Amino acid sequence: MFRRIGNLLAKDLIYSRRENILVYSMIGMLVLVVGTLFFLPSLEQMDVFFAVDGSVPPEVARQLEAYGQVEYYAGYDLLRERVLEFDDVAGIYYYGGEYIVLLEGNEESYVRELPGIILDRILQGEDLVELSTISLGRERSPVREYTAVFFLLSMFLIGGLFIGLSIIDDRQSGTIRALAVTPINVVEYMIGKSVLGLLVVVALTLAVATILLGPATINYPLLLISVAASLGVAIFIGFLIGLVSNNMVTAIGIVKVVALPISGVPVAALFLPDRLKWVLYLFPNYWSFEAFNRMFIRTDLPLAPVNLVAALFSLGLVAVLVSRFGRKLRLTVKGGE
Amino acid sequence: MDEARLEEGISFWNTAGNLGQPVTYRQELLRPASEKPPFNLNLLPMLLALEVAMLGFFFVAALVFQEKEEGSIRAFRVSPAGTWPYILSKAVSNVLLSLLYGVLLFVFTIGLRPELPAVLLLVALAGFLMTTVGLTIGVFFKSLSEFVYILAGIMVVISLPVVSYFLPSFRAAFFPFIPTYPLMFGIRELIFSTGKTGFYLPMLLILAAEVLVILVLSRVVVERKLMKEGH
Repeated sequence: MFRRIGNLLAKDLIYSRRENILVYSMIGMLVLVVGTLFFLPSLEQMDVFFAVDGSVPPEVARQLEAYGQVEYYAGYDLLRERVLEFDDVAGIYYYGGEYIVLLEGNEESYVRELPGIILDRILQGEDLVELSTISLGRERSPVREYTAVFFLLSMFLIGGLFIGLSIIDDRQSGTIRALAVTPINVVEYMIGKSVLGLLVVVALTLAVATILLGPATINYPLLLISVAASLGVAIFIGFLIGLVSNNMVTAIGIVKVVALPISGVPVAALFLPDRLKWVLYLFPNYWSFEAFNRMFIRTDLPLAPVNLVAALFSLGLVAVLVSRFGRKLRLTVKGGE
Repeated sequence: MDEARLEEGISFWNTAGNLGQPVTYRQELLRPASEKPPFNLNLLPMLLALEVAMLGFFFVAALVFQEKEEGSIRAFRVSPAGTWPYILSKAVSNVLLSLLYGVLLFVFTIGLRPELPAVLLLVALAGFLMTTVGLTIGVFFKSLSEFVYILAGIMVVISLPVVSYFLPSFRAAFFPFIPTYPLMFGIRELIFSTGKTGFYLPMLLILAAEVLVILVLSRVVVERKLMKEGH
């Protein structure tokens, strides 16, 4: 059994080397993650933007810079043009002895209110009310952690794609037909086809988490447990791509369809109200998201139950593959491609 | 700056809050606030820009690699058809696919509405652009297995403006140069109008100019990499 699985693995290695898949999947993703590192600081320090007209006295404009990013415009028309652009930015100009906050009218409430409050503070030079603050322990924005979680989840798609492309290659090259006359069974075939893809998932998740969050903040054994609990997602995606698609065009179509819940479920988990979240419980990648969420952001919530559900989902998905798609694969092998 | 200009907008004195202290500013609203679309419908412009318009970007590379494997490219080289018909046939077929997808998504989400043609025109131009971009990049790769990971990376970059879509006060300096940024907001403005005017024609013209530039580039690249090499 192990020899047969080893042979399939060796064949996959040759295929991935021939097509440069390992290079492109690993290096491509890592380049993307490193690129994200340059983009993250601007998201983490998300400032209020002010579009300031030249009529605003320089000392006031300078003080505004302490509260947000200031863009300077020469004249009302340019200022108006900037405020009317698609993003939410407040304009400030000085006219007839008073400051005017120029707004498009559909901005978010904080964009409408903050510039005025800040102007008040700058011009009156004193706090209007005395405030005391209590820290809840979160010292910075969790944007970096959320970005890492989204990247980690997409690695399951990358791993699944890896498995799927390899199965399509087997179908197109006639390998599956050849395997029909060998003693290999469907479970061995599934293990042999999944090993390399799953190793890619594990390697990429470790690398991505390390690059984005830094080794000091990661509990590697726990991360490995969470990744292992969700590996069924990658296997399911891979075999879905490999078994439904006869060629690359169909595979791309499947990837597009699968990518929607893969990226949509975590986004929905962030924005859906709690009373509707039960809808997401049906998606296996919701539990993967929740596991990473509890590992890096909501560390106050227990991780083990979520990992357990993710693992059960993984086992369930693999069982579905073995029983349902396994039959299809065996038929395909016996019937000849 | 004169008083008449101030009256162009809806101006009012801000009297809210401040514990009775005199306020030091007032607000000028250029337009009255419009009703915000519900969250689920607000996703439609994003899906039209990222899913529908970008469809060709995925499929054109798959078509080219399939043709390479089947040997159709070799047959095409000895046929009287040239590079332009090859590029345009790919672009047009993918745009038609995007339009079909777009109509179904639009109609089944918000019904048949008068702004549909304007939305579809934007989707068609963006689809044409992205199909040609996919073709131009795709010809540099040996197989789809190689290209698919690069494609995934490009898709991530193209999807970045989603951050601004959900957090409109944030706009990275390079966002306006990513075609999906104006596309998402433009489609949203067409469907859920806030009264913004004068954005549609410039958006169409910019997209058309981008299409022309990338078409020329694509012609050069496809001619060199696909029509002349012994694939």
